[in-house]
Amino acid sequence: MATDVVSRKPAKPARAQRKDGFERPFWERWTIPGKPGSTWFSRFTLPVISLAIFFTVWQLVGGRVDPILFTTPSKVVRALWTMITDGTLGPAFGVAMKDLAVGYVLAAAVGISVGILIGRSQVAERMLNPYINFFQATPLIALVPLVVIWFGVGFQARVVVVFILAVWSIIISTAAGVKQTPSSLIDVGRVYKYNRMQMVLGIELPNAVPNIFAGLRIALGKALIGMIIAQMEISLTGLGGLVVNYGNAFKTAYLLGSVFTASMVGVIAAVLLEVIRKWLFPWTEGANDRRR
Amino acid sequence: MTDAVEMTRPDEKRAVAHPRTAAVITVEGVGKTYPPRKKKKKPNLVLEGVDLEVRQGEFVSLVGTSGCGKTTLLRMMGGLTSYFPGEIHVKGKLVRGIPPRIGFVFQDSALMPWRSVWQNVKVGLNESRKNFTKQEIKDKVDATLELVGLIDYRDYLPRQISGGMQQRTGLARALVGEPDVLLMDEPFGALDALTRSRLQEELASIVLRTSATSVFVTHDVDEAVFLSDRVAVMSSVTKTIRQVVDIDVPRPRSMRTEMFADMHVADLRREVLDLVIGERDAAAAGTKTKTAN
Repeated sequence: MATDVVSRKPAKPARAQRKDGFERPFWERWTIPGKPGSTWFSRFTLPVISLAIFFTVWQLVGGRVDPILFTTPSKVVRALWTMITDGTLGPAFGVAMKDLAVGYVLAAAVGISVGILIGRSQVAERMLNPYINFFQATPLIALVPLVVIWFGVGFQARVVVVFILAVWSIIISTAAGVKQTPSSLIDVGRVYKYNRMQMVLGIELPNAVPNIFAGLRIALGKALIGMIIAQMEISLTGLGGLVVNYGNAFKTAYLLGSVFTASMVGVIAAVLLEVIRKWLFPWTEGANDRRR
Repeated sequence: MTDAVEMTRPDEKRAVAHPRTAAVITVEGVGKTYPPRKKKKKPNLVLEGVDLEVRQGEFVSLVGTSGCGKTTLLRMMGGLTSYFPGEIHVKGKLVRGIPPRIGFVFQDSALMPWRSVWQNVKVGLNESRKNFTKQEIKDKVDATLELVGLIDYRDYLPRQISGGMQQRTGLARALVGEPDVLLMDEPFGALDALTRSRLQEELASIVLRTSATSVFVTHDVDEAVFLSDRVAVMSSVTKTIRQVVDIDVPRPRSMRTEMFADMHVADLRREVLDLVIGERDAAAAGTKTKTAN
């Protein structure tokens, strides 16, 4: 019986024939491993083509319009380079990053703590919910004048604006995560005599980690808005200050360069957040399909 | 909750029998009624007048149709669910809250997704962690993982291992503290038939070695007969234990298939099955008359 199997001619490997690429368009030769149907071509080349078309059209149209009203990508790049070399962009970028980081980290610390409190205690939830609902519904930018009255026009006030914009979604998602702790895990803690501290830090908080990061992502967008608004309305420093100044001077290319830098701040922060999540909480990868 | 550890004096650590009945677990006249959802509706009676004794080292199964309260009764023994009226004594002490040094295997394995297999098993030593050095804890967890055959998977996350392995991890977590009382709530309920029968055989040999007093909830009659010294059949009509069947088959018991080839075992299985099915039909008849009215 065994010899029978050995003597049989091995079946033609179907993949080998496909690999030589004669049957398919040339770009499908570079399929991304583990992702059938998705090729390096479709994944990277198509976006690049799209961007190239966009910038070409912009360049052509921008060159024919009044330079006060509109600009071209090449001018934006030149403006960015000037801003970097003459030392206006660096400090502005630093101020922006600092405002964002301090306000956001404070919001995360307070938001997670309050979120745990609300998630655990029905009394705290009932008592704090009105405020959370109020601040969620209020356009918080309207509170900027009040922040100025209370905290002046400096660093503190900007941090407060970032904080009050970011903190609510962190509170809400943390509370939701803590509340969703499976009752079976609570039972495990009870059977093995977890104390209150262990229950919170060992079960409820880790269970909320995916929710907390979802909240942090939402809060990051809001914190960015808060940062720019604060720099435009309160102190006129940082990237927000640059945007206002160049806007008033009709330097459209420089304005767009500043906006582009601001969006880079957002991208850097988002990447940082994702790196932290993957580094500290590798188990959250695909955590949405975990059982209950 | 931590105080429970200190409250247990060394001499109480060993299983203490009930003063009157000399059993490790004594259930006397226990019932439970949930208040009605709406006013004017009848309160929901879950259990009524349950009596059961589980002796030192005995393995007792609770069998019955779904909704007969077998899981509720087990959770009561483990202090996870309150009861009234009646009394439950575990190791000579009235159960109010979780009794010290018990192991509990949950239906859905209830592992923490952020802890590795090894760390999950270590949870089972949380209660007695102050009595051991780090090295002792490490050795105990390793030994228990060896026992359930998961030592090679110690660093895996729960979602990276199969359902059967997850259940074995849950079992290891319950065993690592060397509990006097082992409570199991349909631990193999969600597994496929092959994994299930292999785990049953493994459990039989593990329980034989640990000599823990065990209560096992299942709806699988074969499983109950194979594993147990006694099988308590519960009724969803009378909301109590209908009959307790002695499984007087010597241990160690062989493979399941061989065991059920024995005429006597087949008779016992038949007896339990008739009881369970009788209960099911009675319950069905009861609901029929209810709907007819």
